[in-house]
Amino acid sequence: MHIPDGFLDLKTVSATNVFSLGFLFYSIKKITKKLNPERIPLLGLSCAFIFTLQVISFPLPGGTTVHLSGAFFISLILGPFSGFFITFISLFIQALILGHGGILTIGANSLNIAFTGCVMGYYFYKFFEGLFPSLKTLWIFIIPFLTLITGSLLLLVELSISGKILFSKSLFPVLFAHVTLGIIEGIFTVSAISFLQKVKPEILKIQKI
Amino acid sequence: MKHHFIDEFAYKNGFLQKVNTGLKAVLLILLLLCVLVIPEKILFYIPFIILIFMFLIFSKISFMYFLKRILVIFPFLLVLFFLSIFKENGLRIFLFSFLKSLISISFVFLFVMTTKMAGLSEFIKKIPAGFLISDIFSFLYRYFFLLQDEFEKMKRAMVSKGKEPKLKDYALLSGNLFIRSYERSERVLKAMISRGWKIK
Repeated sequence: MHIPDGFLDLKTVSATNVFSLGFLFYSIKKITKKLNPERIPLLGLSCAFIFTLQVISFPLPGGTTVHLSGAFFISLILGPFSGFFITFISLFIQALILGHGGILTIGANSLNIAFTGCVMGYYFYKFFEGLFPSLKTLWIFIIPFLTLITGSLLLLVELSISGKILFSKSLFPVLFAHVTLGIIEGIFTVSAISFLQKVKPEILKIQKI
Repeated sequence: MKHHFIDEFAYKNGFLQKVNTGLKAVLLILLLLCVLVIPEKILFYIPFIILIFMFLIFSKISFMYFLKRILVIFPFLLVLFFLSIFKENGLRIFLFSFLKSLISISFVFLFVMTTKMAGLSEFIKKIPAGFLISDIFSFLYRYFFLLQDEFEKMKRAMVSKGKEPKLKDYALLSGNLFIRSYERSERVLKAMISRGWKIK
């Protein structure tokens, strides 16, 4: 869930922005150092893809709809820093033109969605894939689930530090909603990655930054 | 598909449209910071609300259109409402946060609605490490509507063949959309090079 402006206090806004903007500039430094400039259009189109994915509503039984994050999916293809960078830009543009999330809360939102999904997710995946390579599909299902749960916990921490909610009372409803979302994200990631593996496997061999 | 481009009011001859993009961006951040730190007393919020109305009038922005756009935050606020009420004084805290949120999003939309996307991209280029952000931003704004249309077309094709898409089908559609984005990026690169784009 994207936090709108007005729901976080100054100290939380400052801390999360320092972290996320710092990491953004570090990512840009890494990308400009290593990326083949011919890949810039791919980075741009991937950003438009992530934006589309995060904006499109997917219907669920019972009449509700959900939005996917796709952060882990994109980091599996482009790498953690490129993934973080384009997810950050996508979140920022969503806040700017659609009002999904805030401008000052971009640090918190990108920490909850982009950092956990792309960076944490990618390195956890690499770690577990190295330990148990035969369970690759299982990790592709579990990691986006875990990153979504981590993101929701961070959201609760940020809101409770800002004095807007009580962590203990909000934990169950938020976790319950995100467990469902995590399962959906996991199924989505497994299906989309195995589809790419079958139809265009060279996409999964793109340089990862 | 019909799309509403948010910068359509940027081409009108209004007050905010004439203000330099950089100055507007700095002003926006300052206003958002002010809204963030103002005390929880209703009197402090009134000048901001008056300012929003003045900007709307002098920048020739349709109030109904503006209202429709800021309504998008309500589903998010509804979730936060249910989380806040568990706290002591929760309703009061929520109402002031809601007000702050509404004022902030109004300023953001006023900024975006009165700024041409190309101008915004040019402005981003000037900030540190902004050239990559500006390129990606331009790609995003150029291709987002196209990808959205492509996704809808693929979905419609699936439905017209008698298959109501489920979650797994949405994943396949998304995978397909990524392949199309990948192939399009290769065509775009060739087009950019043929038009004189230099790889730095």
